[in-house]
Amino acid sequence: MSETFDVSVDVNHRRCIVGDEPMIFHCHHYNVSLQRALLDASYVDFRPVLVGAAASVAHAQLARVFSQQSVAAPRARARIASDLYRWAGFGTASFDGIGAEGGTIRTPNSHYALGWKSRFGASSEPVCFFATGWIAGAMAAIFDRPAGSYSVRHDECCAAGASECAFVVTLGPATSESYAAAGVGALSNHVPRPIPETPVDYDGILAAVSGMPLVGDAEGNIPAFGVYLTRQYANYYNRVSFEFLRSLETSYGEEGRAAAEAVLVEAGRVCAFNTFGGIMTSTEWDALIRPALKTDEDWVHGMVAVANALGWGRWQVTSVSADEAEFVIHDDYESVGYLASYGRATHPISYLARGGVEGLMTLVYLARIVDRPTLDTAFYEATFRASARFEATSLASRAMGDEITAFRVSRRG
Amino acid sequence: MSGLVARPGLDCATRRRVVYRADRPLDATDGDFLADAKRTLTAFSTFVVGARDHLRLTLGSQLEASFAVGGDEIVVAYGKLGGTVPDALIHAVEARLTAKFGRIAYVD
Repeated sequence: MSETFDVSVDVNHRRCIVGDEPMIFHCHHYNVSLQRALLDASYVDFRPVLVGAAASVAHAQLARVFSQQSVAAPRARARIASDLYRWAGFGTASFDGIGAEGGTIRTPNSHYALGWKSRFGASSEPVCFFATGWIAGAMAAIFDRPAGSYSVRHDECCAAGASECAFVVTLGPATSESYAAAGVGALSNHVPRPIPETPVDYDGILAAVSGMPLVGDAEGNIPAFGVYLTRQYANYYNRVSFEFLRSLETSYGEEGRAAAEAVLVEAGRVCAFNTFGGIMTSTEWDALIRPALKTDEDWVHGMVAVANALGWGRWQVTSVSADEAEFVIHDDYESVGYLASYGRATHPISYLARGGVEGLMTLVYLARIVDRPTLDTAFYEATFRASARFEATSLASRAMGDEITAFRVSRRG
Repeated sequence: MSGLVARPGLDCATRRRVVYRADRPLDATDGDFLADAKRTLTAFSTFVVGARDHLRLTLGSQLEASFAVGGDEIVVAYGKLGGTVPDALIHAVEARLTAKFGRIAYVD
C-alpha cells in the first residue's frame, strides 16, 4: 500500500521525516510506560501536556504536508490524515462524518488503549491522551484553522472497558497546552568514529531493516519483533519528557530534577528491555544478524546496527567488553529536539539514550539474551533490580554544545 | 514427518507465543502450512553476506508466524495486542502444522 504523503529518509543523520517532523520507532511498552510514569510522578495534572504536545506535532506536520502537496479540500486532507495515523501505527481514525464544527470519531483500534491493556491491564480511566491531542491538531490542520481551535473529549476508552474509543470533537478553544513546532532541528556534519573489528555488517543491516515494511496494517498496528511498534513523533516524546523535567525542576530544584531524570532513564531501560530484547529474540534477528555473531560483543554491535534504523540518530559503540563500553551518538533525537525547543542545556538530557545503553549492556551481559529468556515483568525486575548492574556516565552531550552525545557504561556490583 | 517440539510462552506483547522446532532445516515452501496467509519473504541474504532469508506469514491481525529460511524454528504469535488468547485458532493452526510436519510434542 503506497502512502498518500511523502516520507523522506536522511540516511546520514538516521532520520525519517514526514511534513518536517522526524518520526522514530518506539514500541507500546515505552509509549505507555512513559505516559504512566509522567502521569504518576507529576505533582500537577499532566494530561494537558500530553494532549497539547500531540496536538502541536499533528497540526504542524499535517499543515506542512497539505501545503507541500497542495491539498486544499477537507475531504482529501482528512484522508491523508487518517492514512498517516494508521501508517504510523497509532491505530485507525476516520474523519468520515466529521465537519468543520466537529463530530465524533469512534475506533476499536487505538495503540495506547490496546498497549495499556496489554501491559498494565484494565485502566480506571481513559488513556488515549496522544490520540485526543492528535485528533484536535489534525482537525485544525484539515479545516485550515490555527492550532488550538478544537477541543476533544475522550470519555470512552478500550483500556477502560469500552468496546471502542470515542473522541468527541468540538469547535472551540482547546484546554490543553500549545507548543511551537520544533521541526527537524539542527543536524551536524559529522564523520563516524572508528569502531572495533566486528563481523557485524552495519551498512547491510541498516539497508535491510530500513527496507522492511514496518508500517501500520489495516488496523493501524505495526506488529514486529514481538512488540507493537509506532512511528512516533520525536518532538512529542521530547516535549512531554522535557516539560516533565522542567516542571519538577522549577518546583523542587535539584531534587526535582534528579527525580525526573530517574523516571525518564527508567523509561529508557524499559524500552531497551522490551524493544531491544524483542528484536534480539526475533526470527528476523535469527535470519539477518545472528549468523554473523560469534561473541557477546558482536551482539552489542548487532543491536547498535539495528538501532541506526530506528530514527534515533547515528549510534556507534566505540569500545565494548563484559565490564565496560562506550557509545557515541551523533544527532541523538533528544539533544536535537532540546536545542530546537529550549536552547542549550546546562546538563545532559539524553535520558532515553542513557537508559537504552544501560539496558542493552544488561540484556547482553547480565540477562543473557543469547539464551532467549522470557522477557516479562518479573524477569525485568529480577534483572534490573539486581546488585550487579550497568550504569552509564555521560561523557559528552550534544544538547550542552558538544559535537556528540556519548556515554561510558560500566558494570557495578 | 517426525514432528515438531513446541515450547509455549508469551511474547513482549503478552500474546501467546509458541516456538515449534523441526528436525530439519526449513525452506520457504514450508510456509505452505498456512496457505491462506499473507506471505512476506524478505531476502536478507541480498543485504548481508551469510544472512538467511526470512518468511513472515500473517492471518489478519490474529496470527503472525515467521522463520528464518534454513533455520529449524517456526515462531507463531497468536492473538492481537490487548486481546484474548484465540484457542480455536491455535487448534486450527496446530492441526495444519501436524499435517505438514507430524505430531507436536509440547515441552515446558
